[in-house]
Amino acid sequence: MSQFTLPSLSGIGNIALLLVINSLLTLAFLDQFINHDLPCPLCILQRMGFTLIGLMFLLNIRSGAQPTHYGFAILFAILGLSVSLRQVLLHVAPSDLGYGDTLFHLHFYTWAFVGFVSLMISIAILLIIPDCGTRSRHWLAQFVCLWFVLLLVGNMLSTLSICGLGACADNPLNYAGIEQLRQWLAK
Amino acid sequence: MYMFLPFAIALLAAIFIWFEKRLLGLLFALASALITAAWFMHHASDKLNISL
Repeated sequence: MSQFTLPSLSGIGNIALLLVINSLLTLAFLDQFINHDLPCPLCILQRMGFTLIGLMFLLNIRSGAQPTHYGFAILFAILGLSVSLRQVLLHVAPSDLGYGDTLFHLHFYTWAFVGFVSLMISIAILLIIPDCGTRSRHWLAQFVCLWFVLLLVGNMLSTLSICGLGACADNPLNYAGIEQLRQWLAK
Repeated sequence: MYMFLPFAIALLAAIFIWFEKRLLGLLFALASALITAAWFMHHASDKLNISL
């Protein structure tokens, strides 16, 4: 298997879905840093939901697909979907303006709900497609996997800087973790 | 329990998966999912802001 051998259809599906997850997480990061829209605890948990599903696609690409991986990916999608649905319900009241920025008139958590449902449908389609080997060392697969791992590191550092060592504020306005570190260094 | 912990454990899972340690990767991913679920329970135990 060389870095130029194209993967099978199911392999391409796994790479494409990991690429979708990478794009979603990157979009969330861009909104966080460009629009200074800090993620709330439920938003962070939704990012975690996408990350967990991404881990299963990473597993398929690196070690080959197994029904266990797809099964866990669906369970993780249900977990993420529950978190996003909870946040949609929190802001469903008519006078409520919702939390954070919008994209095409929908809040990010509503898009997350759509994303989790779409991922579940996509996983079902991947299970229907005959599995002719999803394991790939193609340069595109390597690039998408590395991008995912870098986003994982970024999310970990971002959460640490927003929440510090403990639970996040319900409506974070600043990087409390960095403030905690500054105070600790000033002692 | 730290909020960044699920990401830290998921990162360990990703490292194991990268080096093709499938079972360890799967175990760490599960541990991360359990902590995420626990955090969700913590953040979702207040009343919904809706009046029906």
